[in-house]
Amino acid sequence: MQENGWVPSRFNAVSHTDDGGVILYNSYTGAIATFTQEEDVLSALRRGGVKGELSTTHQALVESGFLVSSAVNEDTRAQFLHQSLHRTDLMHLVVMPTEACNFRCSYCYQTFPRGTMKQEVRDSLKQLIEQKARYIQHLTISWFGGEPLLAFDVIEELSHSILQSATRFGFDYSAEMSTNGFGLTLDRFRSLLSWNVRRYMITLDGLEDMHDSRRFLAGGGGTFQTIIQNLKEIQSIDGDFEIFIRVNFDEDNLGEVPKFLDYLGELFKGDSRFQTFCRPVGRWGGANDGDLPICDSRIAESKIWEFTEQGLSKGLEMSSMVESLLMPTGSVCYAAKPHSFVIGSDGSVYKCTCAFEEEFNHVGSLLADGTLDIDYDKLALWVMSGEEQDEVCRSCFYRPACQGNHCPLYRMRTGKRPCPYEKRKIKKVLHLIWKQYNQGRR
Amino acid sequence: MRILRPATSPH
Repeated sequence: MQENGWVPSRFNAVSHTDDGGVILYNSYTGAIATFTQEEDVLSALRRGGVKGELSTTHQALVESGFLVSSAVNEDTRAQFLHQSLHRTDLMHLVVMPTEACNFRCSYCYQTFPRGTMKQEVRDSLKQLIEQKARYIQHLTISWFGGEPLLAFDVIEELSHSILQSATRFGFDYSAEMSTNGFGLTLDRFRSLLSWNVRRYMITLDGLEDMHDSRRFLAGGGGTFQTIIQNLKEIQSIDGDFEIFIRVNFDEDNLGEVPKFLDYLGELFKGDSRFQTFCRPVGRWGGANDGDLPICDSRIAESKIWEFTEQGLSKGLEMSSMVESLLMPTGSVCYAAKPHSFVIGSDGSVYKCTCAFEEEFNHVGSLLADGTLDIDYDKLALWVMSGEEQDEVCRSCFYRPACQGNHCPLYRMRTGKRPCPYEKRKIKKVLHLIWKQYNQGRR
Repeated sequence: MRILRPATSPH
């Protein structure tokens, strides 16, 4: 093979360190490495590649996948990787133990028409998992809602059943939760940890007045102090978990985010379990969409990483999600994965968590005997509308990471390409990853 | 050279 020579992978991205070094990333292998100026890797990554004997540095480039044999067809590699998502030894379920919520956030897209999951749906869900348990090696549950903690007893009941199945059939079980954090008391948190819920997404939109003007209780009333108190108590215990503190920003709170990051830094500096995740508010389908002061998209794209960097400088880690989005298949949305489903509290089955009212998202239902009754034509819409139909995606360096499927909903609604924020600012993101490593973390 | 994250088999 070596006679063919080595050429740069088409899945590479290049960035730079502050001291003139080079940061390389490959989206097919997930490798990230830095090189000094003296190592002169850029000449090896020119179109002609490398012929003849490989130097030590060149060998390292090959091992990380930055250089590939000229005999390799990378298009086939990416295509085959896409097909491999159709594996049957995994299952991911987004479970809504209730669709009710105690908050009424100004930009929320949900309408909360259904309440707590009824007993018969819980029993069917246990049966579904029991039936799949014989064939799967991994199960991930994402507790979602509504506000999942309003149905804590449902989470408890289902968790016990799933953990029993996991022990009996020997599959690996992990769970995560999107919660507003208001009801996340220390007692509950300890219970959740014992039920393998180890990743949490909790949103805080600024300091008290700002946060409370955007994320308030359904009957009116602030939520900031309660959430912060809960987080402080959680921080006081030892435990293996990650809490992504999500900041949703728009023109209203944009100016206050740096001050808020100072505040978070005082609380969580150096505790790598607490991490920041910044996203712009969008018109996500809520009643107030027309009135939302959303940021211009270019400003938003820059601010995400500007805030993340400010967090880093305050001793706050950026969410580990960012780094894993850069893994092969890491930016593919759950809605595009064949083995991932959303289970509504009434047993309805969806693909996407952001469009419950759309008929094409209602892909089936959970039957009493635990089987999923699926409309495969609707399912195919979600799974098959990525790079298969987009020539530009097929020639992109980020293709193995997102497969054109970062947000199938966005593509279906707008006809536009749903490029992830990470891809659009890849040089900046790689620089931040390097910076975080340099600060001696992770 | 410093590897921040090693290559993995994407499969």
